Formats: sequence, C-alpha cells, structure tokens
Amino acid sequence: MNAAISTTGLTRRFGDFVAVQNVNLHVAPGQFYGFLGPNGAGKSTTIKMLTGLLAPTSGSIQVLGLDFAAHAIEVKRQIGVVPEGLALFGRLTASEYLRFVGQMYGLDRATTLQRSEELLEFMNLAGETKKLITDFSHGMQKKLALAAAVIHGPKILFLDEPFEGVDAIAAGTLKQMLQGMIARGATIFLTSHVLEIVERLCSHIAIINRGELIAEGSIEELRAGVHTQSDSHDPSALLTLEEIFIRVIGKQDGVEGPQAEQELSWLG
Amino acid sequence: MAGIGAQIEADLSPSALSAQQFRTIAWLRWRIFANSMRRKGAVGELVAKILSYPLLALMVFGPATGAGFASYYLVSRNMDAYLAIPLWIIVVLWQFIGVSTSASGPSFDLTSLVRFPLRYRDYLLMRLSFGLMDPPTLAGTACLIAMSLGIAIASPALFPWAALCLLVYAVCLILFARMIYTWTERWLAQRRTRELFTGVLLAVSLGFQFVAQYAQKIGDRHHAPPSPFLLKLRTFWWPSTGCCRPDSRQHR
Repeated sequence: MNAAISTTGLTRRFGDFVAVQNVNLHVAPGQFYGFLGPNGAGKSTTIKMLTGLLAPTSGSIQVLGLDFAAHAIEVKRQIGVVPEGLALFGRLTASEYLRFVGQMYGLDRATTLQRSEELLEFMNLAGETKKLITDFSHGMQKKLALAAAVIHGPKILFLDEPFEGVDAIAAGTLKQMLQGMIARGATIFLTSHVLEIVERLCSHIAIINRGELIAEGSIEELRAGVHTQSDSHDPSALLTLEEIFIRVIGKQDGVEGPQAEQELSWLG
Repeated sequence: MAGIGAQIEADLSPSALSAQQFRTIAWLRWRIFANSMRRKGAVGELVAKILSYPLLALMVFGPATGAGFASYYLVSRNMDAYLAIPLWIIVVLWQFIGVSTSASGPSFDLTSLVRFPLRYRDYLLMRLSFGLMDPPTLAGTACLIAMSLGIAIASPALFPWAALCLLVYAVCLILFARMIYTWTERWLAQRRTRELFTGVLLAVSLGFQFVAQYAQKIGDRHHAPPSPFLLKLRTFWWPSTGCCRPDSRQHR
C-alpha cells in the first residue's frame, strides 16, 4: 500500500545554512501525524516543501504515490494546507474567501456555495458573513483558514501550528473537525507546540531538531525508546509527550532536563 | 459536512481548470476593490483617484507625443544615432511612474497563489498579464508605439525593423524592471541588509548637508568671476536692464 506521504533524503539549504537535512518520512494513510520540534528546527520548512510552497534542494517527495515534482497539480488538488501565516485575503468576507478557494480547486459554483455555508455554520462563523476577514479575531481567522483548507475535500491535510493563539472553544471546534476527518479516512500532518493536544490527537509522532529527524514512531514507541536510553528509568512511570520531547531534544543538545534551574538564579 | 474527506468531485480538464482559475482571480481582484470601498474615506480616495486620471493620462500622452515627434524629426534629418536620447528618457519615465504609482490601489500578493493547483505556465502568464497592466508599462509602451509611428512616417522602410527593435527593447525593460523589483524585495527581506540600507541612506543624506555647507563656505571665500558663456547669456537675456548686466567691477 502506498504511503500517504513519503520523503527520501529531503534537504533544504538557504545559502550555507542547512534548514532540513536528509529527512526520510513515512506517513501511512489515515494517520494523524504530529511533526514536532523546537523553534527553528525545520518544521515549517519541511511542511512548505511537502505542500509545494518551497522546492527542496535535494531529495524527493511522494504524496499518495505520486512524485510531487512531476505531478504537482494532481497532488495539490488532493491536499489541503493551513500555512503558518494563514495567507488569507483580508479584504474579502469569509464566504467570498471560501468561494474563491473552492473555485481555485476546480469546484463548481453550486458545490462551493453549499460547502461554504456548511463550513461557516460548523465553524460558528455563519453570523459574520458581512464582516471583512481583516476584522476577524485570530481564532476566527484560524477557523476560516481550516475551512478553506478542507473545502475541496482533500485526502491529506497539512496544518502548521493550527492551535497557536486559539482560545479553548475555537480549539475544541478545530479538534472536532480534525477527528471527524480522520474517522472518514483522511490523513493529517500537523505541527504544533501545544504538546498536550498533539498527544491527545496524534497516533504517530516525528521529532525534528536542527533540521534532522531524531525520533519517529507511535507515542508508545517513543516512550519505550526514551526508557531504554535512560539509566535510571522507572518502567511504571508513564512519560507524557512533553517529557519525551524534552528528553529527546535535551539528549541531542547535550542538556538533560531543564537548564533554568542552573541559570538565572538572580530571578529569586 | 458531507464533502469533507471525500473524493474530489471536481474533475475538470486542465484547460477548463485554468480558465476557471483565471476567472476566479479576476473576480477576486474585483471583490478586493469593491470591498475596499467599505473603508472610511474610501469613496473620497476613489474620487481623488478618478480626478487624478487626466493628470496620469497627460503623463502618458505627453511623453508619447513627444517621443513620436522626436523620432520623426531625428529620422527625417538622418540623425538616427540620436534616437538613443528619447529611448533613455523612456527608461527614466518608466522607472519614475513605477515609483510614483507603486502604492496605488488595493491588491494582493500573487505568490500566495502558489499553494493552489495552478500550472506554472498559468502562474507565469498571470504575473505577466497583471504586470503588463500597471501604469509604467502602459506609459512606456505608449511611448515606444509613438516612436515606431514617428519612424514609420519619416521612413516607412524602417518601420518593420524599428518595430522589432522597440518590441525587444520593451520586453527587456519589463524584465529588467521585474528583476530589479524582485532583487530589491529579496535583498530588503533580510534584517541586516535593511539596517545597512538605512545606514547608507542616513549617511548619504548627512553627507549631502555637509557637502552643501562646505560648498557654501568655499563659495563665500572665493568669488570666482562668472564664465564668459554665462555673461554672454545674461547680456543676451536682459539686454536693456542695467541691474542684470554683468557686474562691471569684476572687469575693471
């Protein structure tokens, strides 16, 4: 069976700086895949390459069995993206924006209008049809960006920090929608710093640091890996994703545990 | 939510999809423009813009007429080499109008369209077609058309070659302008270069002030006699007014 997403030796350089180095990913269809890493690790660069916004320096990307470089249009028609900066058009209303996106993906006008109404209703944005997007709150803009990303019924959804700056109610709506998509067989590739949400939603996790993939697997596999590597582990203690993340990143950076205890003692 | 996660229903052919995308982007531009009228003071801005159109038209037709007549005059008097002068003026005009109209009208960043299933050819065509509609390109093209007409009237046999050369010239100017914009945008996107650029601007503006003051001091110290050419010009210009004649003390 074809992987939903697979990369081989994916690398991106900006001058002398290597943002992503030799990343090999394998995301199975139907997986809720969390892609984690500290700031500047290369998450957004990777997601930009996987969605065709940035060309890799070297390596290849296969999406739904198609080579991205050779079949960019076919691939883009089957994926949805919520980019880091949302990329909304502030001078449109929500329904105008959804109509624009739907028609850019090739939907006919009637289908676009019907889906727009359903999505706006689902996202609790139906009462804001006259308001321009620029006047929306950040959470409302996130919900709209997600609605636009799914209007064409994508098989794979890429989300770059979808929960950043979103209140609990909006986050609840987003989670509900994403879980519904997974239940219908879609694949979701998500980057987030909110590890509690990732732990609750994602079935598989990959951790990237300094451009290199340093851990990949289900949460149980990552947990087992951390326990095996730890000298004084307690098998009965169930590590949270946050603890796993800190240990994995800390090990690579040569820092075990938070540094804050040793430093900034003057803070009192 | 029936459509979410389902198969993509749209099964348009690539050409039909392209046509729909072109229509949708034209519609997007229209909606952005129409919605911009909802801002406070937007109607006033629109009226001001409409009133400025005759001025803009003058900025286009004035130089175009001038370029046409100049090229006719130069070719009809076998001074073809001097055609470089109107061509250089067009380059300057092209850049000047570009700077003065760069902030006109609401628009959107075309690079944000890359995430959609848009063929590279269509994306390029879209950028080019929207780029060709901007005021500098229209003004420059009008000037070059006027020049080729002027050449055609002066010497009909030259017309095909002149038209071909001016077409190549126009393409080069369009690509050159795009290249400069892209390069500047990319260059100024980095913080360090922005800081450097600001520093250079500051140094240049301060430098001008120092140079001006220094020049003034030197000018005060040395009252050099005016050049013979200027003296002749002043005599010619104000022959009967004594006050404007060259200072006789200088020649004693």
